[in-house]
Amino acid sequence: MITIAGSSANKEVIVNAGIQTPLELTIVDVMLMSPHTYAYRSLDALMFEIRFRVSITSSSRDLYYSGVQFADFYRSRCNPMFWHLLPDGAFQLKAGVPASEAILDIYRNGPMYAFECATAMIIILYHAAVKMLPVNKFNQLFANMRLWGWKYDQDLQIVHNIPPDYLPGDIRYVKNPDVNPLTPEWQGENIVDLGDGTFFGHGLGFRTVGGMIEALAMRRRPGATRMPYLMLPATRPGFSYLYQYSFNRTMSDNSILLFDNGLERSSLSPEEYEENRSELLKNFITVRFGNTY
Amino acid sequence: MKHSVSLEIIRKTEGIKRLEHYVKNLIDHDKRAVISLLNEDTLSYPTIYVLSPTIREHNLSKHLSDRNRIALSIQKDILSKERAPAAPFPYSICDLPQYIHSVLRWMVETGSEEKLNTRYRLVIDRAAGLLTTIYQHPDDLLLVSKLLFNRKRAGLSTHYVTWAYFSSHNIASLLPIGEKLLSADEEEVAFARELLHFITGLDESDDPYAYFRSWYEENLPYLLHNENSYELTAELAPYVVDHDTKYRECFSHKASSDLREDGFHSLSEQEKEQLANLSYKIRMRSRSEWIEWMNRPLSAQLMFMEEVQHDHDSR
Repeated sequence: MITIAGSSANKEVIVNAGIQTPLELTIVDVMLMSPHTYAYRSLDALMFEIRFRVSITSSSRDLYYSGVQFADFYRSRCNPMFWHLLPDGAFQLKAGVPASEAILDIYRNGPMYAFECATAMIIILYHAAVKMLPVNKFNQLFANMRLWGWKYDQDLQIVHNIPPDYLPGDIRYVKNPDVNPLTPEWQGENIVDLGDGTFFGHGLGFRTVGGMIEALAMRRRPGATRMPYLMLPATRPGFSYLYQYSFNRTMSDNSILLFDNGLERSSLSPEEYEENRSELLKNFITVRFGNTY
Repeated sequence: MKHSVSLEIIRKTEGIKRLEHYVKNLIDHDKRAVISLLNEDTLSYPTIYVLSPTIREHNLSKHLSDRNRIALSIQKDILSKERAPAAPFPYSICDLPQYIHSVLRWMVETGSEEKLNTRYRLVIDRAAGLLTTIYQHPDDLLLVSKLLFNRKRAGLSTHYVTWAYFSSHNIASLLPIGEKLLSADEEEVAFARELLHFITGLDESDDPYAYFRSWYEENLPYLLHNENSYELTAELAPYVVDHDTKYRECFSHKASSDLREDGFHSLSEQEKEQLANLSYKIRMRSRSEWIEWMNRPLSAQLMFMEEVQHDHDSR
């Protein structure tokens, strides 16, 4: 089920709030039918996660068609106009370069780039975040961006656990326990759930889980006894954390955001709020964002 | 002997270009002397690697010792571009597969401190992976741990060496890392802490090596290999403590034990760890006392755990 500000939400309200594609509807359906409670502070926060998830799937497709190459860390490469290639194969954002432009360059000049599958996943998440966050906020948040597997992900507040349900936009992992030691880059494959029964894995393209397993099985050592398998955990960015950066607020940090019964948002100053407090409390769910970010 | 030292010395003191020049000149005048120098026992793998284009160019391979020929076959195989589906390593790359293990050891042992270039490091890292995954000899762990720390010290990628190291699935692989906690080099200590971060309480300890040793000795029978890696998560945990086994060992004295086990499984990970540690401590102190304690309801055990924790905190 889904709750908004503590109350159970029905499908009609959610759909009317701006569900536009079958994939968005799939996400809503999985959440609504789950015994787990998906709790959001506002309808806007729910829509943000749904759109972010859809964005992850489209960023995966775009990455594939950008022409980027698969490479292990020894052979990683990047556009030197935007990135420093570090000795360990990481890409460090150059000083003065907006992070958003550097991420978009990977998609514009794909053939100049080559990296491993975990780095690809981080790039996909950043690319989705570029689309979901105001550019100035994105550039502030990720000003010191470094791309290298999962290791430098603190700004995305990555969540990695066994979730109650698997949703489109989740990143899963197919482990290849008997990988050929001469190709350890195929020790497993990070894959994005595209929501239509297929997944995207950097280097393996679009396949079903069975197809991913089959491709990895070919990269096992001679005499291997174990087949690759899909692991239970899923990886996602911290949607609720990133949501707070999703609006371009021009008001002061002490402004009050008001949500009415339809969860429409409006804002006013603390003085205005105090003046009409009793009336406003009757009609609005109020949320104060006092210097919280 | 004198000549082989010369090749090593030329490479180390005068550089790769000078070495290549020296060998090429000598080939023109005395090919036998070159072969003799290349086949000296004391020659290191980096020297063979550096001279491999010259060896190929002058068709010297057939004159090389078994060790050198096998090393060059391994090198060629590792650097070959296409490898999927898997080539049947190590059976078909040379005529002497029984020597491959010792040659791999030689490559890693004599080659782990050299950085040379990316292709060279790839060869060494893959050779380390072959040692830990195919041959799995415990003596090789120290060798690969040295390589791991050399890579880190040089600021180079440790990704694949870390994978290779823990792919040994040998719990003793934790020991060489733990010993680095005693290092005078702060960066080595920091890297050892990073690799051992999954040990609860290590970061807060004033004497991390002593803490590591006692943790290792206490948990050795309960450690399980974990399936995560840096490809999956930023938090590598190559081994996990089986708290369930540490808590109950093979305890089944009462019919209620099933209920207790269900209760144990529903505890938080932190509670499981704390209760398992307490159970272990009581068991080590007195088995009869432990059996009596295990016969208590889980709620009583948890209450006792809180009391012990409270006493400990108020000290």
